[in-house]
Order: sequence, then structure tokens, then C-alpha cells
Amino acid sequence: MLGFVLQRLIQALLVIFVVSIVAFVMNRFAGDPVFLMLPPQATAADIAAARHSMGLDQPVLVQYGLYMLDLLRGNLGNSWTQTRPVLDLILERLPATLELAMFALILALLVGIPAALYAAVRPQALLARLSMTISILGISIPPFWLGISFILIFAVNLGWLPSSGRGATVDILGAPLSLFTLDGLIHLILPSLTLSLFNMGLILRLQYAGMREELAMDYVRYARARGVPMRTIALRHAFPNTLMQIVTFSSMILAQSIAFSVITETIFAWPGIGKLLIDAIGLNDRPLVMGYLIFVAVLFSLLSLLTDLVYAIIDPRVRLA
Amino acid sequence: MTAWHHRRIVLGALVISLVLGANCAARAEDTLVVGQAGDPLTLDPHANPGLVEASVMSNLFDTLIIFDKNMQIQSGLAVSWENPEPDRWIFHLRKGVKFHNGADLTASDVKYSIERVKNWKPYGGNTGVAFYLNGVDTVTALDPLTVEIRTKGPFGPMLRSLRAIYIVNKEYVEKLTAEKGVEVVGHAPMGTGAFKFVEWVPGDHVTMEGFDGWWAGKAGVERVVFRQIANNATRTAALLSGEIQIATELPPRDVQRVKDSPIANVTILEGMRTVNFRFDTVREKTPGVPGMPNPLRDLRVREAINYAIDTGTIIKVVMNGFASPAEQLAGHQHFGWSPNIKHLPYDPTMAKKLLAEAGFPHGFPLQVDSTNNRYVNDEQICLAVAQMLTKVEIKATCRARSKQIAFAEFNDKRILCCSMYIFSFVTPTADLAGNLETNLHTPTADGTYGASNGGDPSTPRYSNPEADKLIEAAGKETNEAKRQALLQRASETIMANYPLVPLHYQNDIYGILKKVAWTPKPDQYLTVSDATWR
Repeated sequence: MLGFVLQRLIQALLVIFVVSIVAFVMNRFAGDPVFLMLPPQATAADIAAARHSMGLDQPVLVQYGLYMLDLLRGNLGNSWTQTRPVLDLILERLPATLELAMFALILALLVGIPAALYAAVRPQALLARLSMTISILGISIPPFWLGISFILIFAVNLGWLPSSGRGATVDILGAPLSLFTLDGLIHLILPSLTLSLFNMGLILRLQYAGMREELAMDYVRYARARGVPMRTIALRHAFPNTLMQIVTFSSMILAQSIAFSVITETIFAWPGIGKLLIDAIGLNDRPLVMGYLIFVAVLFSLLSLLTDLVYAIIDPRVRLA
Repeated sequence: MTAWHHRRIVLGALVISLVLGANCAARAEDTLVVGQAGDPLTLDPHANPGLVEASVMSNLFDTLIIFDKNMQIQSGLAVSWENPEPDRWIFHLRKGVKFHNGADLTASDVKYSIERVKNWKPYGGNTGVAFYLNGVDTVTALDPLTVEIRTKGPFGPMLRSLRAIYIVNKEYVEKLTAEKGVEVVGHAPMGTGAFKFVEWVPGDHVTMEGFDGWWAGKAGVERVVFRQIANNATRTAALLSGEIQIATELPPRDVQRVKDSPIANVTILEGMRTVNFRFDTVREKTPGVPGMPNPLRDLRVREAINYAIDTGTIIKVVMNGFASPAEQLAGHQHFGWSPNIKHLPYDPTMAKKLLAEAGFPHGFPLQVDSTNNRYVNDEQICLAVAQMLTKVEIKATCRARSKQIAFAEFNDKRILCCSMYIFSFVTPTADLAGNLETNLHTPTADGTYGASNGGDPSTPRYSNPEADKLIEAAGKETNEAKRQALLQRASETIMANYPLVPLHYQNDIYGILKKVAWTPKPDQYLTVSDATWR
């Protein structure tokens, strides 16, 4: 067990190393940041001084080496545009994104899984066919269009829900969360629905396929022959066997939503890390872009490690070695 | 009643309460909410010169002089001033001005603020705000309400420059910097402005509250929230649903919808930002015209290009009518704008004739450079310009790239980019002097002039000794009327030489709810101390 975790951590370090190289090289193609930092009146001396203070006058390999040395000490550096530590900036915005991603995932699971179970047990029922058709719609509608439509319908025309922004927050264990206030919850509805509709469809289809496969197994047939009701077979026997895949795609969806909820965050003016990244790219804030990508790599590695650990809990046959 | 019924009732109650709650949240009558595209990077008034920051902070801080809605100088924290000798200014501060923490405004706060700007070097170099104070030598507090500024020789733009310098409280900033570090100052702004800082959630909103002790009375609204809503469509939706009362940078396609709405109005203002295309008029070889000597050095060629570009069509088609034709370097709100400069008419025959005279009857290849994410419709403007040039047989192509890459190349003397490229200018001091000094004066080695090329005298974009003299004279002239005349003459001299093609002044479009009375200013500052409820 300990060996397994260690092995995975070493893998994670490798991933971070590769990501850091790719991010570093990509950043170098994004233009010279000095001219975006300084006003047009800057003199040659000002430009040289700025380049020096940002370390841009060093050879590329030295720049990279210095960055990695800092990284080893857990230091992601300071943002050039906001002159604050990159890690602080990310952590400050993280609760908003985490809460949106988690809420959207739970919403997607709560709708997707029961619908899939029903459709798998009664594939011919009208409701089942309907939900399978709608799921295709959910997968094929682009989220930016969906988000704008939701805003127009529910905020502008009906006036039921706020169009954008994050509601009032309360501090829970030091993190400002809006999930636990009424105002916050209302603000959460539209963005989380937008973020979850695609995943809802995806979960429905994946889970439907998994259940159909499971229900075609011999043990199901024997159970039916013995007169066990279909409901019991599906919920007690077949469903637990599909838990592994639920965990797998849930963790993938969560990671995806946290790292790349940029579109939803931009449309709904949600102050999360996705918007932080977009702004940083716009301002050519290299340390912030680098820090973000490395942070996401760590996040993905940790989530996949967690997924593997959960496998072992769900399925006693899985040995972590 | 079964359990199922119970659940239904609970669910119903939940839906009702959510709907009611939503309506409550939208109805906070005393709070003015402004939705803008950007979010400040810092609220330290001396750290960052960007428009978004300066604009939001204009509600928290005051300046010695202020501009009215026509960009004319009015007294701010200074009631009066005199200029007894050309290099010496005396400012008399207003009596009884209080900071938000109750402290009195004194001359030492003004001295501290000006010196803090001058010494602020986050990247080892100056920031944008510091450039406005290039000519300032020493600042002295003569008595608690009198400040003396001595300049390095006569310094023309002195008065207008002070518009860019927000006054902070010396004791407060020094203490905060020493105890918590300078970054914290940017998250706890405290000034003498109409509003007190309440909170800032980065990427989301800045909240302020009316300050009872404001020297100019009391703001018309109790509370103001500046929300960042980057997406244009969302910003319009938030306005139409009444969640925000003022929306900045309304996209042209939404103007009619907002006009049709029963609750909102559209305000369109001729903005101060010009969009131009600059020429490389000096170098013998220019990268955008390969394989031949630089044709843009010839005045006739530059004049021909001015004739060949139909700005009226660009405004109508590309800008949807939301721009006004430009004829010179900067808008009429700028000090130094000249009424004598006229835009050349669209005349392709004249253009062809001039090109033939200059020895290019069949034109020449020309690469036009532009950004594609900086100014309104910049890429489409560039494409339209290239097409119009093709009509007079200049084989023009448009290269539009992101501002991150394009700006770096425009300014980097090592790359020597661009023969004809998009160029725009606006300044919070509404003073043409800065534009002329940095962009159109022949570059000098020390960087005092022509710094926009990185200050390298070997790569000027424009050089005109006659204009240079006028610009320098204006810089040393402290009499406003004389200075204005000099700047106007410099402008006229330069424009007669066609170093650029002036296209248009961008319009600023605001959506404002009918229940709010507020007139925006041409400098795009969102100063809302004069906003009131109707």
C-alpha cells in the first residue's frame, strides 16, 4: 500500500516535470512580456531594468533552472501583474471553482445514474427512450450557448434567477463557500446546471451501457430464474458491480470541471481559477500561467491516486501494489 | 398524507423560497451596481497605471486637480495654485479635508504621494504613473496646507499631470507597508474620496460605501459595487434583468435591444481613444515592403494612402456606426487638439495620381500590421484597410496577431517590425504633450523623447526637426494658453507630413437603467459620486 502510494507520487513528479517543460516552452512563444508590463513611455533603461528584475536577461536554461529550484521549495513565484504569490492567487479562487465543480458533478450524478438505471432495466419504456434521446442533446449542445440561453430565459425573461456572479459566502473551515447561503445557492443554479448538462448526458449513456452489460451476465439470468425481482437484481447486484466505472468517470469529470470550467466561469462571471487563467494569459503573466498549469497537473495526479485508492475500498479483489 | 406528499410539499416550498429569494437579491434599492469588463489588478493607486484600476479608484481617492465632464481643469484637493517662477509651483490645499480614517489631509500627505509615485519601481523601472512626473524635482510641505513643487526647469504639463496622482495618507500607508508588506496596501485602499472601501473579492467585485465626511458633500448613492462581468452578452443580460444599473462597453449588437427595453437607456459618448495606422517614415529599408527601398519615406506615398482609405465606410460597416471620424492624433477633449486640421477626403483617383508621381504607378507590396484582441474590431479594420489599398494597386496584406505578440514586436528595437501598423493613444491627463513627446518626437539617447521605440535613436518611426522644436518649447511652457498654441502648431506641422492615417475615435457605449441619473465622462472613468436615483 505504502509502496503503491510512493510509486504513484514519483509518477506524479514526472508528470509535473513534463508539464513544466511544456508550459515553459509555450510561454516563450507568447510574446515578450516586458512590453505589456511597461507603459509605452518606458525608456530603453526601464525596459532593461524590468527585464533584469524579471530574470528575462538570463539564458533560457538558467531561467528554467531557477524556476524549478523555487518549485522544489514549494514556491510558485510571484504574479507579475498582481505582485502577489501565485499560490495565494490560486488558493483564493479555488473554493469558488471547487464548489461549482462539485455541485455540478453531484447534480449530474443525481440525475444521470437513476435515469440510467431505469433505462437499463426498462429499455423499451417511453420515459427511458425519452431520457436517452435528451442525453444526446445534453452532449451535443455547446455549453456557452446553453449558458447564454439559460441567462436569457431565467434571468432576463422570467426574472427568477440572477444572471451571473457568485452569491453571499460564509466561511467554512476558512474557505469562503456560497453553497450554504440561500443567496449563494440561487447564484449557483444556472452555472452548475450549464456545467453539468453535458456530464449528465455522458454519465447517463456510460452508466446505461455498463448496466446493460451487467444485466446480460449469467448471474443475472440465474437470479431471475430463481424469482428474484428485477428491482432487487438491478439495485443490489448489478449496480454495485458498476461502481468502479462510476468512480472512474466521476473523478475524470471532476478534474475536468475544476481545471477547464473556463467557459462557464467566463459566461457567468464566476470568480474561479478558470477566469484567473484567462486573465493571466491575456496579460502574459508567465509565472501565473506556469503556476496554474503545474497546479492542475498536481490536482490531476492526486485525483487519480485517490481514485485508485477508492477502487481498493470498493472491490476487495483490487490489490494496490 | 403519505411520505410522498410530504416530499412534494417540501420541494414546492423550496422552489417558492428560491424564487422569492432571487427576487430579494435583485432588489437592493440603495446599492448601485456597475458591471464592467475588467477587474482591477490592484487598488494601490501608485502601483498600476491601467484604466480599470484608475477608474475604480477615482471613487476612493482624490487628486489635487480634477477634470470636469469636458476634461477641463477644476480645483480638487487643491483650492488654488500659482506658478510664481517657471520652475516653481505653489498649491494651496483645501481646508477640512478628511481621510476615511478621520485623519486630516496635510501637505505632507501630498508630498508623500508624489514622492511615492516617483520612487515606485516594481520592475526596477518606472511605472506609467511616474512618467507624468518626469519633470518634478522636489516637493516641499511649506506649511500644513501649502505644498511647493520645484521642477527641473519649466515643466509645461505639471498641472494636468497631477490628475494622475491620487493622494494617500502618509501615516496609514507607511504603517501598513511596514507591518504587512506593500501588497497589502493594494488590498486596503484608504483615501479622501466620496466612497469608503468595504471589500474586494478579486475577479468578482469591489464594494464601497458612501463617506459622510467627503469634502464635496455626499455621494448620491449609499453603496456602490463594481462587478466584473467579462462576457459582453452576460453584461447586457445583467443590465436587462436589473441586477446591474450601469453596464460599460455595451456591444454594438445589443444597443437596439437595450434601447427597446422598458427599464434601460443607452448613452453613447465620443471617446478619447483614436485608432490610427502609423508609418515607418525614416528607415531606408522597411520589413513590410520587401525587396525595395522604403517607399513610405516619400510624403506623396503617405498622402496617397490617406486618400485611398475610406474611413466613412470603415465606421459604417466595420464599426456599425459607433465611431466618429478622426483627423488628427487625439480627440478634441485633449489639450492641444487643433481645429485647423482636416481629414483628407476619400479619393482613389487622387491617390493613384500621387503614387504615379512618386514613381509607383503599379503600387508596391505592403504588409499592414494589427492586433486582433486590443481595440474594437481591430482585425476587421486592418482587413478593410488592406482591401482599400489594393484598389489603388498597393498590394497590401493584413497581418493581425494577438496584442501579446504584436505589441512586443511594435516596440522591440531588436526586431525592427512593421511598416504600417495599428496605433492608438489615450491618456488620463488628456494632454497631447505626452503623445507627441513619446511617439512623434525624434528619439533621443536618454529616452526623454521618442521612447515608444524603446528609446533607441537608431530606429525612429518619425522625425521632423521643426515639430521637435515646437514639442520641446511646449514642454517648457507653463502658460496654458501659450502651451496650447504650441501643441496645436506641433500637431498641425506633424499632420501635414502624414506620419499616420487617422481613422476614427471609438465611441464609448454605456447601458444605464432609467432609474439612475448619471452621465459618463469621455475618459471612461467610472466616477459615480454624482450618480443619483431618479
